[in-house]
Amino acid sequence: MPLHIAIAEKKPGLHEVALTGRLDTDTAPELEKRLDPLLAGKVAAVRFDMSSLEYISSMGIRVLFKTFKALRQKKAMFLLANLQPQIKKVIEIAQALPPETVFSSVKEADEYFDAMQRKVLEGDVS
Amino acid sequence: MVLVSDEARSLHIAIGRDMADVGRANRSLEEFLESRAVDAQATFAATVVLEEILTNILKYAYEDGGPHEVRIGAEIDARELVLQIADDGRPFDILAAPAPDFDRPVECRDAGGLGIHLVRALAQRVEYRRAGGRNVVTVHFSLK
Repeated sequence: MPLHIAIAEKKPGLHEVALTGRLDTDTAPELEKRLDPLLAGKVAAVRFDMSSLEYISSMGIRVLFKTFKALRQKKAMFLLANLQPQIKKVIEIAQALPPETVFSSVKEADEYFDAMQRKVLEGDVS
Repeated sequence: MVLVSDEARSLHIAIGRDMADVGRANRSLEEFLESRAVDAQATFAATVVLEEILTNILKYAYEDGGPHEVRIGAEIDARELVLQIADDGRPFDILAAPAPDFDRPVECRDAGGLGIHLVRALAQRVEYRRAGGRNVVTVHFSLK
């Protein structure tokens, strides 16, 4: 099964990247290409919905890791939600992404995004 | 990719230098394991391990432009799945390769060495030997 990538802005500044299928040597370059314009523009957060991702290899983790680094540089958020157990295990083994970027659901990740946005706003006011 | 044999308890395939064969070999292994009712966890681990080892070989093992071959074998019994990958590239001991530097902060780390780290972590046991001008990597996975 190849990789299907759906990108949509769910809230102002919060971009969802929903992945379906396999993120491997064959498909990782495609994801990287699709993420480039997103990372080049104005973005507050990229939230990956991983619920339909069935397979990941180190090439896939590399793309996530590069995205994490690019967002961190822009002071934007990197959020991973809904990982299937085998994907979670590989990401944990790789230790390439901080555990606090992983959320058990989209709802939880989006609530975190909202809370952080509020914090930024309050910080600006005071 | 060439299918050498597909039997009740074993699969043998061979690939050349084409990176697209990594995906093909991986799908063949996955189909073989699924059709033999190997559990999903071992199937997942074995396919990731195969992809990492093959990608590594095709990227780094060959120092010339000539033809090369990687032989892949998978055998299952009641207790385990054994994957064997033999390449005719330059000597490379997968067990001696350094692990990623986990002491550095994530932001400062590069993603190198990740594939081999995954191989060692997902497998039950990994063996390496150099025999007849080939690197032979044998990887064991326990079955449920």
